[in-house]
Amino acid sequence: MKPLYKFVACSLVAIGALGAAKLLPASEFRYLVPGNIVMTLEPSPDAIGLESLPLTATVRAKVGTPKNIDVFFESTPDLKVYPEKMSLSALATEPLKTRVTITKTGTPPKGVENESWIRMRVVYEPDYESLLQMVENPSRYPDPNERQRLVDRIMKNSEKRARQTDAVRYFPALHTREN
Amino acid sequence: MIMEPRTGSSAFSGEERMKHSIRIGSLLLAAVLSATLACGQTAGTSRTPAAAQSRSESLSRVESSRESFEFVFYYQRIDEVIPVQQGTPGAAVAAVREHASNVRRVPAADWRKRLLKADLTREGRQDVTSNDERFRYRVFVTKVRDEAHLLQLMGADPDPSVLSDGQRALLAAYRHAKEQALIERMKQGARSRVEVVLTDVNGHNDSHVLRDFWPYSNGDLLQLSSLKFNAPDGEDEARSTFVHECAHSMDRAQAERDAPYGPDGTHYINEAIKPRAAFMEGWAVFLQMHDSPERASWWPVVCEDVKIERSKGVYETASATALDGMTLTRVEGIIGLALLNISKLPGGMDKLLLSFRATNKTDRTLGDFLKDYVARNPDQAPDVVRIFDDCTRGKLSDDEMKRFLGSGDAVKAFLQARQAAAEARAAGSSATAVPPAETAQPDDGATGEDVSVGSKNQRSPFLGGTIEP
Repeated sequence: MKPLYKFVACSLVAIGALGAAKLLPASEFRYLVPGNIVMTLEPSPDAIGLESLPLTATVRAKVGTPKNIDVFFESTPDLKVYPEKMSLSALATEPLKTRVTITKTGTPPKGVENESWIRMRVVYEPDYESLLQMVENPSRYPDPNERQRLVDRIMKNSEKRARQTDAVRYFPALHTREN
Repeated sequence: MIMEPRTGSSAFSGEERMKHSIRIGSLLLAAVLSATLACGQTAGTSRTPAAAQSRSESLSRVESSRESFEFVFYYQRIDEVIPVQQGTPGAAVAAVREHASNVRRVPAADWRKRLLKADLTREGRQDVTSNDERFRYRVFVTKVRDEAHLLQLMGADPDPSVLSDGQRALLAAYRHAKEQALIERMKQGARSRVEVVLTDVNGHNDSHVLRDFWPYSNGDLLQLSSLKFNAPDGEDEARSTFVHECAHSMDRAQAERDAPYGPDGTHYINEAIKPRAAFMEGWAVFLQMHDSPERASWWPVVCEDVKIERSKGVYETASATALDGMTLTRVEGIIGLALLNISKLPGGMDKLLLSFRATNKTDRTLGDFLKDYVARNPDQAPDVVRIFDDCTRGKLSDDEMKRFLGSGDAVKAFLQARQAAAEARAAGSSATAVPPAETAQPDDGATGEDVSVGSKNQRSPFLGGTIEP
């Protein structure tokens, strides 16, 4: 019968251990301001390691038509990026693609913490009217208090004509060696 | 192994069977007792007389505040979201290999994270599974040395103006953690060190990313993600959420085992949930309101209506005036408001923190906390009783009030005065023959007068005004 004892004891100890684990507070319900744009920065199909690394930058609107778009391409000091900046009057839901070329200009920094990167940073004015239309829809945002909270936040940002900054960084080392 | 039959003939004699049963019984009893003690799941409502007698003794035994407290920050960046192939031999082999390699990390919402804290702050580049089986994440994790290091990690050294809104929000939380007032508050809590994982989603904004890296605290560790705060006003949200999660990390309390937040596992600030969970969340909400006047003015208005989850994800909403008092004591926003109003009494915040320390145990209830406060601060007892009665709309019976506040003189005096006032009102009403006000019914759409008053002038409906008997 020893195996039976062991089985029972182990089961109860396991149950006890699970019980002793602190039960997490659940996530408080909150509506979030909807994302405005979708952006990616990926190696172009003809990319060959760090020596030749054209990237394809894609950006598109997710909600409405964001305005006054500035797109910055930046990098660590060991790389040079072209183009450095693009400006657009508005962004549509149709994806906008551009090719970004990278040139090595120095020694790559050492250590995973300092590895090279290329960043696409998009600064824009969200389409606040479309955001409001979206969040005022009770079927999408049924909780009236949370919906109102979201409306208030968007209104405040709209009054300030606050510009938003989204960014994505690409790390060439991810695809040039096994990580 | 062959299981012995429970009845019928066997190789055991009757005596042996009895010994055998006793041994199994003892083992079971010991294990259950151990598990119960470990979980601290003694029932909060069934206090023994001995426990009641030792109350006065326990008042003098308060855990001292901590000499020091530190936040230890980790920066986690999502470098890649990788689709996971399913249903192929290669995918099966990869899954087995991942399992065997013992390097599996888990995302925020996974229950295993509750047990495997060490997994979360392992530094370097590594893969994290998603709760959504179709994806995994390649992340980079490193310990943050200081603000300059954090800026460098976020690609913004030396120019913070290039931060994304979500990154800026993480920076705001980091800076908030350095404020002495918050550190002093954390010294009153259960831990002298809390790890904070700041997750930079790095432009990945799909819904599974949001779910996997949703803010939470498991006590020793808390997490914030840039995606939740990715808006021009995200810094304020991040600071407040950080305060909320810190409040949980101060706490030793554990929510009820059985669906503490209702069938859907999530909760609203104005939702009636299980009592212990409500106090844990109420404490966190209180500290958010204490630190944010904007929330302190808005959330009480929200709690004019109370949500009740009837079945998974199906809520009914009722005016708070139409609900019974015990239900109102299970609403985190109402508990938070009561604590906020108590904090405004002279020295109230310090006294609240003292009672928080004195009652910081796994099965703490609102009643434990309030009784401790009243016992320690008899001079403020009348105010505390009034505040609690206002917040619960005068709906608690005398016995229920005593259950939360004890049976001290101040409580008794208040209840007598409340009764007298109710009788006087009743006499006045009958003398002037005013027709009775229409009683609000639960789930009637919450369009009562109380709601409109609270909404129009932003005045807290819980303070002042007429209390319905």
